[in-house]
Amino acid sequence: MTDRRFESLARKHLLPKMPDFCVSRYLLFVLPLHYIIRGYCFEGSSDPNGFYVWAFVQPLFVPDRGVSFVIGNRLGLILGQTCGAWSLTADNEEVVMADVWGYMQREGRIILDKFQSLRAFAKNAINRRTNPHSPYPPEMVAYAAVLLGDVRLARKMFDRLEWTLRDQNDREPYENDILKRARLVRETLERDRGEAVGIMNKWREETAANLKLTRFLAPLPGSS
Amino acid sequence: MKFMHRNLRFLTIASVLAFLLAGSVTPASAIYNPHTGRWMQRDPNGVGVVLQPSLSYEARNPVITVSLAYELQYADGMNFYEYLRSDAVNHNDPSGMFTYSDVLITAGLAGGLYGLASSYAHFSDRGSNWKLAASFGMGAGMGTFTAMGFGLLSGAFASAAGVSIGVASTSIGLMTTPALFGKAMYDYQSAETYADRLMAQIDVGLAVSGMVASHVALFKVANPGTVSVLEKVAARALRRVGIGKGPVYGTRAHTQFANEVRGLGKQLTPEVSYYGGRPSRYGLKGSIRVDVVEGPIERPIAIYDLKTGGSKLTPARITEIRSHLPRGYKDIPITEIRGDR
Repeated sequence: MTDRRFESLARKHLLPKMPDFCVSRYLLFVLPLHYIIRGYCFEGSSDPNGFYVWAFVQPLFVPDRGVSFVIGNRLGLILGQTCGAWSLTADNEEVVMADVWGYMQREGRIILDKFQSLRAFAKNAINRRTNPHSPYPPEMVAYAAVLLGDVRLARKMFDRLEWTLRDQNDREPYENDILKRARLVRETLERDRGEAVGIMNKWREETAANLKLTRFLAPLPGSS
Repeated sequence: MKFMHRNLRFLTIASVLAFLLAGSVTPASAIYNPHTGRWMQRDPNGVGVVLQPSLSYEARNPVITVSLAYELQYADGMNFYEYLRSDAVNHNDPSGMFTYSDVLITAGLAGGLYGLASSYAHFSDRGSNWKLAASFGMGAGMGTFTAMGFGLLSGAFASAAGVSIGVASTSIGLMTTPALFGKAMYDYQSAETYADRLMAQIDVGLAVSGMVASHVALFKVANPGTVSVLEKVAARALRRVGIGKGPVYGTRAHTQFANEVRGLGKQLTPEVSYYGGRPSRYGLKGSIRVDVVEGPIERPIAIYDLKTGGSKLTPARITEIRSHLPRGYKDIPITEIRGDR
């Protein structure tokens, strides 16, 4: 399915029931868009009429080329009932989209409601479902802590990230990138927190641009 | 006699611990080379605990010795690269650490040694309880040989019937371990010295371990192998798609396979993309798409890739998939699924 088709389906069947949300291509997300995007992502299948829907939360202040699902899951898998896939035919569009909306209410909100603020993000991004070996959650929480001014939490998360990626021979190239930028933020934080926040604001704009969401970015509190 | 009793008790503890450890070690590693039909890494079970029982006589008294050692061994047969005893259809071993037979033999040995040790102690130290001790000893001994025999049978014949027999023999463990627990509690109540009480407490712990082990074994045995299920699903998908070849046919086969997998539940998720160690959206440049993920997407325990016609899961492709899997889960088994075998 094309991105345009996803957008059209979401506009027609979902957006009228979701006043806080906005649609852009395959993304259906909560406004205003400050530091975190949280919402739903439509994903295609090998079946030309099939699709999956992810409920996801992604911090824009972590550089990224596209949508990633470090926090989130496919609808249908969150409560472990089905493996969440839908297929459209000529005459089932209403039924399918009503089903999708039902899953968003039952399952999607479980994830999205936990991340309503930056503070909630810093608190809930690492939980019992998180992959304990992944460098992404500590990186995200460290940056969120920098933005919140919680230097103690930020240092703790930077230490955890260093420990996670401690084995130099076991690192993938992208993990070296993570470590490099985390060290940059940490060094800057120790020198000047305002400067560290500036780095993350820049990354926020870059990630939003990669997701083609620049026009949806809300002004940050305190900026003119 | 007390010395021997304690040695046997130690061996029993070691056996139970070895079994429990074997079941809890994940993830394991297995790169499959479809060209040679071999696993590219040694079965992790190839290095493990060796139990070597031997019988000797000391002053006309029989002495059973069981030595424990960690050494290289052909745990799954003479081929170091063998996996699931070369029968992925009837065995299930996502961690690569053990098969049904290993579970049954280890559990049987542990239970049997425990029972024999207890009965021997009762025979020698407590004449009044000899009937009780004899019955437990015989029961445990029979359980051992039954479990070992059935375990070997299911390993040797690797058939559906073998799995059924495995379920039956594991059920014996389920029934006997509560009895052993009851006896341990009885010993605890009637213990007169601190040493006896301590030993009885150890017995209670062992019996509980045995109960847990039996349940784990039953769960493992009762679950058919994922590869077996997916091969059947793939065969059904290919039948529905019909005969054909080329990329269009391949896409149709994959679509049908994904549709079939969706109906399986059982923690099998079709069509998942990964990029840079995390799940990503289909189509992201540089990402890889796998056909089926077993377990949570962020913490997968196995990957399955459908191949049709002449296409094969190459070592280069396996390496590429691994480079994008989440950290901590890069060494999980990546298995080729074919519906046209």
